[in-house]
Amino acid sequence: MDLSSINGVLRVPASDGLQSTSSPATIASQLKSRLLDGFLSHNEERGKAAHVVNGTPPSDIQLVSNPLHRELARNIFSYRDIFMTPRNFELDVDADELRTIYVLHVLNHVFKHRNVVLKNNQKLKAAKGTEDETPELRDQGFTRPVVLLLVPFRSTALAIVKQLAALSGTKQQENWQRFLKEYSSSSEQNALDESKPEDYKRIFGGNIDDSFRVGVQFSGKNMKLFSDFYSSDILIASPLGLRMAMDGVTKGKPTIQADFLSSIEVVILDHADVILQQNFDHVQVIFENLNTIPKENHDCNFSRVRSWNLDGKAKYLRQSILLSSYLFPELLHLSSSLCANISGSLYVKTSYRDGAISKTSGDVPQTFQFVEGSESATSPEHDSDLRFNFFVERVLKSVNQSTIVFISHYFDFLKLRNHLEEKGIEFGELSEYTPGPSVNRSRSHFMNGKLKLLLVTERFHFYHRYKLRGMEQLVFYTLPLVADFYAEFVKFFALQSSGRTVKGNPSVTALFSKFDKLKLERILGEQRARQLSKHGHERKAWLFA
Amino acid sequence: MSTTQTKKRLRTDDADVPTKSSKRPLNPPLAKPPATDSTTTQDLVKKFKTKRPTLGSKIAELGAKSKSRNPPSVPPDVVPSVSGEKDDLSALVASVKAKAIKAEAEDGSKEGQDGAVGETEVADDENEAVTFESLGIIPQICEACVQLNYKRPTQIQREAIPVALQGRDIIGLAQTGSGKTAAFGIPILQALWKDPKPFFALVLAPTRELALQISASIAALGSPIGARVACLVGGMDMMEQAVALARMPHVVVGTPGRVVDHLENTKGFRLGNLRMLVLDEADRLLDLDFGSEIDKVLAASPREGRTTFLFSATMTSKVEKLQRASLRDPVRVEVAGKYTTVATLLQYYMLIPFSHKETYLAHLLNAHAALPTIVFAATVITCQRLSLALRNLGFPVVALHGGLSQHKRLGALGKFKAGERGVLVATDVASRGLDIPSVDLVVNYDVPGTGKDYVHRVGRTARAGKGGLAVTFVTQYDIEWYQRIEAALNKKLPEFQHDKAEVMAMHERVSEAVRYANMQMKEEAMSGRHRKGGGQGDDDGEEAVGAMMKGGKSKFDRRGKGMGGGRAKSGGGRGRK
Repeated sequence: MDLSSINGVLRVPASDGLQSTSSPATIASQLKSRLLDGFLSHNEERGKAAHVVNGTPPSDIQLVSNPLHRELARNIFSYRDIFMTPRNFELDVDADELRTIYVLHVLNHVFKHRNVVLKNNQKLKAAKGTEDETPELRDQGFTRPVVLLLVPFRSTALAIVKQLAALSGTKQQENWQRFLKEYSSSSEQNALDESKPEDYKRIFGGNIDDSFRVGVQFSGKNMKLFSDFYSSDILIASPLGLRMAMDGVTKGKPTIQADFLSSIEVVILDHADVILQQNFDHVQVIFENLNTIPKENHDCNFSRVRSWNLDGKAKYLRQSILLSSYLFPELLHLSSSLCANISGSLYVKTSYRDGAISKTSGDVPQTFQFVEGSESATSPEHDSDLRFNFFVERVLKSVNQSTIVFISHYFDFLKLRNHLEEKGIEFGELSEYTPGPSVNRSRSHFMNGKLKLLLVTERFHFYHRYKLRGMEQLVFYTLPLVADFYAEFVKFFALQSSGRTVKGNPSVTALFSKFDKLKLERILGEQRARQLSKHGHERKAWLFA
Repeated sequence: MSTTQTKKRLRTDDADVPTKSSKRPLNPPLAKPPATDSTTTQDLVKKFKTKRPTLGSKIAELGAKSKSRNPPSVPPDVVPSVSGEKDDLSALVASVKAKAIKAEAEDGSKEGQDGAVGETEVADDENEAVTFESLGIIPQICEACVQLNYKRPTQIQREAIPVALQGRDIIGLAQTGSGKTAAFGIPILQALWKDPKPFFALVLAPTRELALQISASIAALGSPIGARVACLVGGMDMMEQAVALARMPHVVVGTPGRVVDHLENTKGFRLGNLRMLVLDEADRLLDLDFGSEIDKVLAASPREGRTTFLFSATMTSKVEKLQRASLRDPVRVEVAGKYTTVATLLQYYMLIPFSHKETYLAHLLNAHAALPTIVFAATVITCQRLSLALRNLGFPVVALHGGLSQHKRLGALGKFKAGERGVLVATDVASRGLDIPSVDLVVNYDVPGTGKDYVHRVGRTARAGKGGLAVTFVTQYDIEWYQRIEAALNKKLPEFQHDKAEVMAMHERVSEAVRYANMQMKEEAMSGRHRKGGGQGDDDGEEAVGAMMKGGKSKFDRRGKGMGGGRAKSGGGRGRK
């Protein structure tokens, strides 16, 4: 991982009272000894054995070799919010190490929390027999789950649970076989096309079911999977799976029943970029329902509920860790409006110097066209309307070759599709809802030149990564969220299409507006993106060749 | 009145007042006898306008009589707000007088609650000597009393608080509206101040509204010492209450059912440290209706080191009932006899035919249209029917009964308290404890079940030294029952004078409204049942009733226009000619 391109911003509240930022405690001192041993042996297995002198605690460097991860680990263990956007599937080793760190943190938190509760149980038991007044011990929330892990696929959940089992040092795992059966991929699922790109194989390599939820309960040396939500310590779920668990019905009206989210103290959203391709609305709803006062008591012992839970202030003491490989507006909104940790936060962001455009060959002229009039757009919805008008009036008319129109958002796709149908223009469509036979037909007709216009959505490409042949002209109706898709599409020009010759006059037109700054950065690099967004409405179009 | 057993002194002239008043003409002359049988709405309105000051004047005259030693001077700048006719001049003068007296009474203090009118001068002097401080109350709570405008302790407070501060168990008996809440609230808070502990005191009340009212006043009294109060009543969110309990409140106020519910289902709520238990309206709580709940609460609270207060305006005499509350060597503090009502309350009965009850009610409400009124009915159904019928007649009515959701109950009470609606039609849920100072008229549409109920119902008016009027409807079927109540009260009530012809003039219109109300109820019951596909216990009933009320309202709106236009539907042969 190229660390020079990574920027971090640490925001810590000015008010003191909290552990100061100057010298955070070492990782080893914050870890429970049982976990530290597990972590050391885990490192050893992976050939990263730290030379630990007996009796002295290992230093941070000995524990976490990657400097970025070391810094992250320190902040994670200090209960700060982490918003990190160079999370990457491509770099397998690093991705695993980051997961190890947060799994370690999760275990550490759960064990510390359970220990306090168990010790207080003893105290209360001891006080019961005597004449002494029962002490007021406030050590828990309304419900038991304290950690929520949101991940996109069963395969990611499997990796996490395996690490939970390995690091926790538990002797016994209940329901382990059932878990393996349900969460690992069957053999035919495993057979991915070898020609697919590496990152695709990594994302979709395992069981890619995105509707699941599992509770994990720790008691002593025992780890139980599929425990009831209200007696679990950790909830691992996909946003969809959890959202479905939240649907309740009261008096015939659908309501949200999210009492099990009332006392979450650590929430981790991993691979947010993949979840964005699934459905990010669920994440929004889940975060809105975190740390609310429950609607039913669920056998809660109210005399032990902490005052900040009672006062509805628990969200200020919740740590949120959001990891994504790139930044997008929904994630920014999530971190700025729904994460309010008083311990502060660490933003880690990649800076893009060259952007994805540098991966394309220079012989295809690439025009970045500012959507005229969109400088006055008041909202993304308004922007989408202006973009549609601009596309229909200015771009669509100039289309005369075999053209692929790339559309990021499904609603934009629908709008355009309906328009084309109305006008009687012949076109093919590849969206996430297009059935398989139709996909194949469209692809081959486009390749043979029978279809002149092909609409492709980003999500379709994300899930299938087909190579589309026969393209003479490429239009980005909206820029892709995944910058590499830009380069991938431009490279389609170079593909040989059997049966007919492609005219040697390829061109790329990409529409952008003031709402596309983050996407532009990733595609063009920061400096060029800044120029484009600054002078967009004056110069209208840029040509890269 | 002969049963008055005041501990320290007898209230000498209590007994005379009603007798005196009964000698006077009971009803001031009516404006004009109706010229013809045909009375239009306009006529009615006119009449109601001219008759508005009647009650005020009556009370005023009464007040003037008993206060005759120093007659109030009429402030010259008081301009009568009611424009009347010439023959009403006397009434106007009386209303002005009434205002002056009212002002005087307010100048006095809360001690007036026991009767600014009825008390002897000796008593007045003594009252002035006793202050909250002199009762041994700590300054912090005295301060709260000042803020709440409690200037001097009322009689029950004067007598109960010192005993309570000694830590004795108390059976307290005082008339309605005499400041009982503070009489147990202050000792609780003072004991709490000395030994602050969570779940220190529990106050039980028979109705939700009363419990809410008590918790509000204890919270107000306890705010200077930082007392936390939680209120546990049915019909409200359990979780909110559980969260309130988790904050370790010092005082818990509630209705027995919900308190037991929390004892059983809310972990962390225990009464093991309870030091004080209060049963307000104790006779009602010790009835069999609340038997199992009260037993459970008593079982959950410690026997040793607990102080128990029982308060009510009427008290059960059955020893075994009191034993259930397990009092230890209680002190009986009584400031009034068993069935006494305050002297400023004028009480009458009306002997009327059963079939014309609604007409008489409409007439009575019409005659006193400007006065905040509570109409008590025996059942929920009667209550609904009456409220619909009265609404159809254009009265500003709200209903309050157990068939409504708690939300609606509070809403109804709020509207009535705020003066948005002038008439409250209620069952006995509203009969006890509710402190709505403005109520001037109580109508017992159905004869109350017992003498106690009667006392509590009429106790909703004439509170805190103000005047009030209570009228009980007695039909041919109720006579024996009514006589039993009179016997319990040990008092013969005078008959309310009225002009039969005038009442009957309204009959046709009223019976039309009643018929329509019956229809509305039937319709709503049908559609309610249809919609829900067969009843499902309580919940269903509530829904159906709610729908009924809603439906009634909307229909009334439609109909109201018709009525306002003159006589569209009900007019028939009547109307102005």
